[in-house]
Amino acid sequence: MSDKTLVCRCEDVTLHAIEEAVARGHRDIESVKRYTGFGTGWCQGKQCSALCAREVVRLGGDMPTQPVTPRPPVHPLSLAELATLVDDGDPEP
Amino acid sequence: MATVRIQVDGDEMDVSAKDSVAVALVRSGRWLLGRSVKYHRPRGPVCFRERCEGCLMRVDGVPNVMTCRKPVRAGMKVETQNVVGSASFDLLSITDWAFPKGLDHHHMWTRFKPTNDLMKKIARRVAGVGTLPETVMPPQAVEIQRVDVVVVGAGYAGVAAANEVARRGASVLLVDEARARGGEARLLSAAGLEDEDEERVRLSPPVAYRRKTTALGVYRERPNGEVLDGGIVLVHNAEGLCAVECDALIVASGVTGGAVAFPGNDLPGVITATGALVLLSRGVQPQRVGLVGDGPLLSALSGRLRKLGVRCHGPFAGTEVQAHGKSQVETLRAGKESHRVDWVVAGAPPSAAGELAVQGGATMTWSDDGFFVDAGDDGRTKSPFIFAIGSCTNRRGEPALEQAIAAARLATRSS
Repeated sequence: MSDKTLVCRCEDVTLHAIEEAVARGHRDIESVKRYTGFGTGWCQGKQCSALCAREVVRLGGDMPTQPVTPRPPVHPLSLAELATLVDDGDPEP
Repeated sequence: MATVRIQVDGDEMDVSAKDSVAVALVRSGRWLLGRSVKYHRPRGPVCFRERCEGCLMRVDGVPNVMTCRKPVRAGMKVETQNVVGSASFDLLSITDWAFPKGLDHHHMWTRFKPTNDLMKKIARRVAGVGTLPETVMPPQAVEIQRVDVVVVGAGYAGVAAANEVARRGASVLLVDEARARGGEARLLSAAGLEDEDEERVRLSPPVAYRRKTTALGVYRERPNGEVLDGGIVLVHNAEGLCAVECDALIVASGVTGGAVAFPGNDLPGVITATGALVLLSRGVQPQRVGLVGDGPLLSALSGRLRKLGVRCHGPFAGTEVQAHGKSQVETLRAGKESHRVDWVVAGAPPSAAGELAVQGGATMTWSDDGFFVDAGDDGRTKSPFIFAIGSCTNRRGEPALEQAIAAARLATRSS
């Protein structure tokens, strides 16, 4: 197993990938998120958002203002449960 | 101690009836629970509070079960997912070995369309988390509720706010994802670090309280598109979903520590400070621990570990160390020294669990190396519907409690 430093475990984003992104001109966390994928996995940034923000600043990027936009659900939810929310008028489940 | 027999990757195992699946596995010495999505690196539980990806396993034919809080059951079938082979020998981990600097999917094999199409086909097959469940879930009805105020988070601040709302004659629903009230304070006391103040978690009736209930989202309009002055909070527990319509939401959801950057930081056995507190509270004790990073919990934890006779190394800065091991952490290298360890506890500056507040219209700020919900001393945020209190706003102790009371008063002003 190689000596990688992981900043986002959910999407396997390495510190090297963040460094690359900033070197390519992505200076704010939203842009770095879109390029590297950090914060878009299972935990939706709970473990990596603050760390990536600190790393982007350390690498010369912009000071963060807002975290990346959070979307519901805040916690993993199955499609089956989500499907029960929609009432399309059909009495059949 | 009552035990139950479960099956893990085909082998039978007797575990404590009170443990969650992940805790039972860690207690038995197994930290390697699965492999990561891209490089198939060994992974294991890290946060022990359903806020990471480390403990995901297939349980009784259902994929992606967060085993850190899944209670064991007699006859339960637990399987590693996401591997070709086994957890300890996954053929797909060749990706990790073949790309020591990482695989740049933006540029790799993008030059020629046919090779790119083939790569995408392979990636789609191989990537992802888990496979479909064996049986179809039966439909469950959604419960609809209406209260004046919802409080998310039953730590000291949340409990204080809920009690004040009830005292003022408004209806309140208090929810918390954990099995008992008290939040961070309860975790510290359960791990033996400090005494819990029972007064702070006592509920004045008629506060409606649901434990092991997670708030999933906040909506400012009904499904039919009708915009609300208040909102709907979607909550979830073992019984299913509940849509709670309310006039105000008080977010007291606390903070998360998050990851610390150093080589090998994703090895099974590298855990957060709260993860260590959960294990200690379950009576799982290491012999040797490496401490990395900082944060208030880390120093409190190291004091407790030393008192328990645990050999502690550090704390070291993330820039000073590397973690090594084959399928779980074995050594922590700091400079020229190499320390054998059972756990590495990585502590990070706290950052708010503020997603709900932001969904409802609040904003966050960056301070003290973390994100916090932007709220006043009275809990007010940019949104008249959302109040935020306690550690998620970077306040603790007495200021947090005063903020909780003030927010409860404002939230019930029109009630």
